[in-house]
Amino acid sequence: MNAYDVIVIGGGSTGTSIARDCAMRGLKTILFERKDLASGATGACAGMISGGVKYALQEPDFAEMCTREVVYLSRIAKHIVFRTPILTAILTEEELKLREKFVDTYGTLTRKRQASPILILSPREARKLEPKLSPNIILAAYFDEMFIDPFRLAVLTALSAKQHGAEIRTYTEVVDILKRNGEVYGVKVRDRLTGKEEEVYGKIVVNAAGAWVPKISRMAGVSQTLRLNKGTHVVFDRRITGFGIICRALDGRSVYLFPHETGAILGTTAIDIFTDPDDAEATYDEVEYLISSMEMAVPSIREARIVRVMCGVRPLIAQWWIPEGDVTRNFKVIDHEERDGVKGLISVEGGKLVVCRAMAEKITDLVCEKLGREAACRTHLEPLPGAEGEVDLNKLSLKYNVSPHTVSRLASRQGALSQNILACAESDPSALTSVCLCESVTEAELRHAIRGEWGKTLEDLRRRTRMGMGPCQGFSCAYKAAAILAEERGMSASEAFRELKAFLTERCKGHSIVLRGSQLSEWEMTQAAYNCVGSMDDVTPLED
Amino acid sequence: MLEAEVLVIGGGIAGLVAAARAADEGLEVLVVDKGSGATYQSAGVVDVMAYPPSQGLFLNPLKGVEVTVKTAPTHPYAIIGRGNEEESVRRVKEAVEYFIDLTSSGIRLEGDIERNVILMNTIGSFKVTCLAPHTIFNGKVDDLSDASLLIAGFRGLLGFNPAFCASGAEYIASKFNVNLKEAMYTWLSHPRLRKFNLTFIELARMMDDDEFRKELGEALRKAVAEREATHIALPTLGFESPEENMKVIEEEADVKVFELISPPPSIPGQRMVKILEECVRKRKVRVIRGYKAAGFREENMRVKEIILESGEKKIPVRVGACILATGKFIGGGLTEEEDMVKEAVFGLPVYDGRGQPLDERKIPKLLVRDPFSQQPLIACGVKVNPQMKPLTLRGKPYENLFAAGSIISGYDYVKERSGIGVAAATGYFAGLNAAYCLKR
Repeated sequence: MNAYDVIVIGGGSTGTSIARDCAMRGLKTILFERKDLASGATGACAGMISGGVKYALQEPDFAEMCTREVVYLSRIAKHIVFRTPILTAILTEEELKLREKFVDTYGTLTRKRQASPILILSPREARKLEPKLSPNIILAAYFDEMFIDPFRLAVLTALSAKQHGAEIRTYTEVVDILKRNGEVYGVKVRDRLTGKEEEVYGKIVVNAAGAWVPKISRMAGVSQTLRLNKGTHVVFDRRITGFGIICRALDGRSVYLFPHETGAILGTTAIDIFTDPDDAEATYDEVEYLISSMEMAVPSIREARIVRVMCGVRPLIAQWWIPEGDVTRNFKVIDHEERDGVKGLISVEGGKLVVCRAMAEKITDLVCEKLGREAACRTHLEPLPGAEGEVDLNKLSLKYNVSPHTVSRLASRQGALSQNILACAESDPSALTSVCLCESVTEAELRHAIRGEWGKTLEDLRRRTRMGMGPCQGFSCAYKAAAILAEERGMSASEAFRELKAFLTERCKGHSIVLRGSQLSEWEMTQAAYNCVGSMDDVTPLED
Repeated sequence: MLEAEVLVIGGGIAGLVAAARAADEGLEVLVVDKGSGATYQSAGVVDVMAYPPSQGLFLNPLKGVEVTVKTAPTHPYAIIGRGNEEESVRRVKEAVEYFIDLTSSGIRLEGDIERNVILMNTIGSFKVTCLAPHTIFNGKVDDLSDASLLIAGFRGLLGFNPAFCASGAEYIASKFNVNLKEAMYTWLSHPRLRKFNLTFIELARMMDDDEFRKELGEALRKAVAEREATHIALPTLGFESPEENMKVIEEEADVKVFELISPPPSIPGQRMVKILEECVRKRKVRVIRGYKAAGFREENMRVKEIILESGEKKIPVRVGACILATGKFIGGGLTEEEDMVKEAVFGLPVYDGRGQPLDERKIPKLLVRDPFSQQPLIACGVKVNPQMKPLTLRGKPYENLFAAGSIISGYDYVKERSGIGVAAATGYFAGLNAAYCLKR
């Protein structure tokens, strides 16, 4: 039967959270994602789940909500949450005055989320902690923030939704909203891998498509405006600094450099865009803006090795005539029955990663109200898959004779499920062979991502396992992973080559913007290996 | 202070061929090599020309050279023949034959400079090239007509999946109209091999072991009998003695055996560097490893001295002539500064593939988005005159400085599959011209 209580559109952090909440409250739920889970803004963000200090003055309620959500996420997704200590580098007297308020409000909020208090450090103290800081700083403020692996968050949330009965359909695009007498009764979807179209019926359609919310609404004859705002990140090959660094950008905004997983991430820009969000691309100017800004606080950043540049589009609430930074990060749930007279359609505007669960709760409350169901939200209580227990890294490392590094990387993604993945080695020890050497991803983990986490393409495997995200950017793992994907999914050689090329094309995207230093050698190596030796430039699909 | 009649900067194919050729002329040659460059990472086969600029696949490499000379006047193949097709073809042939002869004591290179062949690789696709070590050449796709091919993998070997290679073999056979009867695969294991994360070099070293290769042959005999295979493909046949290992396994298994080409880390590439180095040492060429050329001193357009550097240590070398064979980005001959391409040792001006100076052109402008299209950046490098002397900012070249290999602009070794061909040809003439310049 293709009739549901709720149809969720969008597989980002918000969409998956909605599907999870609906399913946990006993609603028959299906989620459609046009590409892969976390392939939009969720996958392009820095993963910071900020306690919301920034909003404490203007929007105290929202700041409270952020703080609360950090605690919830740390509880339900503890294995993918990590704490990063941060130094805000202050370079001028004028800046010091601006930051003062921030320091004041921070204190009260930190106590609530059990974080360490803010500390003001002299340049000497700060540089002792972080020698890469510029000698020109006049002061540094120490605090910390929590971060989450945004890819894993979306995948685990979707997995949890599935465990509670929801259906998750990736690579399935909503091409039309079915409407009769002013009432939405379902969607028409196209499977992007097979091209097959079908109609799916539902009592409520929730539009959680992020930057694509207006596009979906248009299908229902509803006009909706967002302030689409592009943010670009520069990714480095190593952690660069031990502390996260925040400093003032050239235009007075703030930019950050965060050690992240095995690398570092520098961001971000904020540029309003008026084109199709699919066409948003990082530019040379953005990269230079970020580097030139961070250079004031961390002079060596210019010499650091850039492995990639990426961008995402923030679906901000349409507040204009103020800078992007002043636009509320709070969210708005739109009941289109109330606003536009279109029954059965709900959408969500704005919001940010940290409040994805809270957004889902509010939306699901509305869905339940409309369906006349009474069920309490439990999404903040039940752990996500992998967060249920503790992992003994040493024990696993010894038992399977795998390096502690490999086990700890695996556990940072899979938590308590690591044990199950490593158990494959009991019947076939070769399953622990590394496919991606930069990120220490084993064959067993890739197969798990294909079989149990909707991994359909190499890009999907990258998002789930971090395969191909290291300094070599897929050079040494792409072909190995393509062979495994082909085997698991019964792809022909020709199909596997197409997949391999698509993956490498995506990896190389940032190169046409910036390719510097030793990354050039990596680039030449990839060119030589895949074209000169691998003939990927001459593997045209065969005719039948 | 060290002294050398000819100092070659770079220990890849181009540098070592140049060194050998200069030594043949009775000169005292010193090679400085900072570490493993592109040759070390290469497939270890001899590409001459398969896809000439803006053309499809050419089955005759020399015809490809001819077309190149006609259509691309700034290509090194055109420059060495001073634009004359016949002269270019003659010179390329002479240089490649010299290379075959030079390495013959260590590698039995098979093939014909007038015929490209299709060889299977470990990633499941193919490579077009013209000469290859005997152990690899035995697997050319043409020879697999009516064959029942068994691809043997090793459990836990990093980066080799025989199941996928078997499906790749079918793709290759149908692409090149070869009537391959069957492509099968088998997984091997051996108590002496690591159970997972087994590297190619570990396996290659094991292959060189007398007992191991015999046991492997026996295991393969069983697999062959079960599957009725006629050919066996292996990911490597060893590091020290591939030829002998192949013979032993062939005798045991009683079918034809060959090894596949592989992307880095490639054993045949590593074998080639090692053998070439042995061959030049036999010619009394000295090789210094671990040092890079960090600076130079010139007088009246003659290079007088090169400063070698390793960490804090600096050694000046007084030189008669110098050959720049530093490669591109992998080798370190080209570097980046403020998004522009720089020549690392002499600060020579860098040109694009059409012979135009790069000037202020930034790297992103030399790249196209599709990584499978021709990348203008690959063809960038120094510009040489027919004597292989690179042009300087002052317009005229240094009298005693020559260039060889991929530091030279005007060709795209990735697209053309012309890497070793150009390296050998430019190395050969750079070595010879350096000798002439000193004798005069």
